[in-house]
Amino acid sequence: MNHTSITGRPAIEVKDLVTHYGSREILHGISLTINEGEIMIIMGGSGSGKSTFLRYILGLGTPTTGSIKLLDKDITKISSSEMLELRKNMGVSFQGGALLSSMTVGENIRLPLYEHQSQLNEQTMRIMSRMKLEVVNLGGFENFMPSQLSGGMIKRAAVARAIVMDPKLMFFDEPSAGLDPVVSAELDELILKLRDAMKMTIVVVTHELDSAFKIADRITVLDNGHILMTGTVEEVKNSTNDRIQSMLNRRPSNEEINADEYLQRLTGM
Amino acid sequence: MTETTSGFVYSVIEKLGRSTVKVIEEAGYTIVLLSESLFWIFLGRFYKQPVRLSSVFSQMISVGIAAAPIVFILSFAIGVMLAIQIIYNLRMFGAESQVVAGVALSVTREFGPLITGILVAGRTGSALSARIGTMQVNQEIDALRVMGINPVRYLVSPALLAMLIMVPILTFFSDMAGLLGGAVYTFFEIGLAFDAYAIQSMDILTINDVMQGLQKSVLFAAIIVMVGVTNGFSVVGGAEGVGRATTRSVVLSISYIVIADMVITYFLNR
Repeated sequence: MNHTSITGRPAIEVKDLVTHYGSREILHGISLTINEGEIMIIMGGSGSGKSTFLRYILGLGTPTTGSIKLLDKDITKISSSEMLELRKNMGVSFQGGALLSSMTVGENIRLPLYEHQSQLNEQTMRIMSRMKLEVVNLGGFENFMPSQLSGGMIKRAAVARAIVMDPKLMFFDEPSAGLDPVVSAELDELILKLRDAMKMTIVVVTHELDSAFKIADRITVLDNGHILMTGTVEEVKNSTNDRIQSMLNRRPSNEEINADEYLQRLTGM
Repeated sequence: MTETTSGFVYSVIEKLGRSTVKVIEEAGYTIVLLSESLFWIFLGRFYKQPVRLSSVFSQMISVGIAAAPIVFILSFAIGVMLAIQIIYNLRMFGAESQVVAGVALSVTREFGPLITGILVAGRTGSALSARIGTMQVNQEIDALRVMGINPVRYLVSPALLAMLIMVPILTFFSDMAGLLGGAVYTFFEIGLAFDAYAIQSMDILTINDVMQGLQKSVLFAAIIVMVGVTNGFSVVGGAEGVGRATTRSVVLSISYIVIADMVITYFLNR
């Protein structure tokens, strides 16, 4: 499924990323390179660390050790003003959309423009936001409040907001969660369109196998804070790794229980 | 038996330790939020991230103008109530005409700022806390951050600025309403004319009396905003968490207001 627009130049480079939640280590030294123009799917079950991984590459947390380079800038080291510049090149679609509920859809989409492109006049901003609404098939909905939209529409509006600054990097957190199969497929099409038409590098965190196999250029499988493998759809499907096969065939995993640890957890001693 | 006792003592000490750490942590967080919001107010434009005046104005309207009617009603009632009590007390000495001084000083130095503070804490403090808490739960705060919009600059700074301007103005308005309440009751009770009441009030009141109330109100405004936003940003646990944070922010800010009032009144009158 390799795509012609992938240049092979890295857009995102993560090296030896270790993160903690309180005293618990969540990610145990993750290294991953995502190339320009590719769709990388981060897959894994609940508690695999995939959402944590996303938080850190979005710069929403400070890692314990390791480096995260986005577009050749190490976000663990750069100043806040450099980070601000970098953020203009990043778009994020959150799981629940995260549109500001006090504003209309149009105002939500124009918000990044108001904040970062204030030299533009109101009419230009309106036209730009309408163009992005057309891209996500929500033309004519700019004056609706987020509460008046369905789940799928909210997610698409959130994509419109994320792409209004024409970012080079686009991140999706569980795009198909809570959507029916048809709407979910539409969103997959939209993600492919963003890569092909806008040449974006796209990272999608998901546990939906169908959608992952449909849109992925490469897939990274996370499990308990480790990378099990990174590879193309075929490579993942043909993997001989037990954990990956259990995930693909929806088999419950048989974790071995350490008797001492188990007792310790129960007694709290 | 001894083991149980020592176990109990340990758990009490542990709980005390945990809550002390929590209080210090929260106080530290509030100070960080306050410094950060002042930073954006004064220096934001040099970092190309100014605090938007339109946002400040819209908050000023909701904090100030929208609260004016209820502030008027409550302050008027307080003025009447004070006049009733003071006339009752002074009657024992046959000195009812001194009611003007009593009402004027109590309203401007104490009741105006206090009633305004409590009212704004219930109206605006709770709203701030609920708004930021809901945004936190819905990942809207994260969304702001990834769009390169600092949530403190976008949400806290305009509220702080609007409150620091509007609460003293509301307090002054409350002073006037309180004096009016006193004047109306005094007119009906002992027949003192409005103009005489006004002249006497002006004679008694000094700039210092009014300023004392206004200084307090500035402090109250800061307390309400900071308690509201600290609780809002600390929300965990969905809708229930938002409810808890809102209640907590109202109870805490009213308590802090009353205690701060006592302390500051003590020092201002030394």
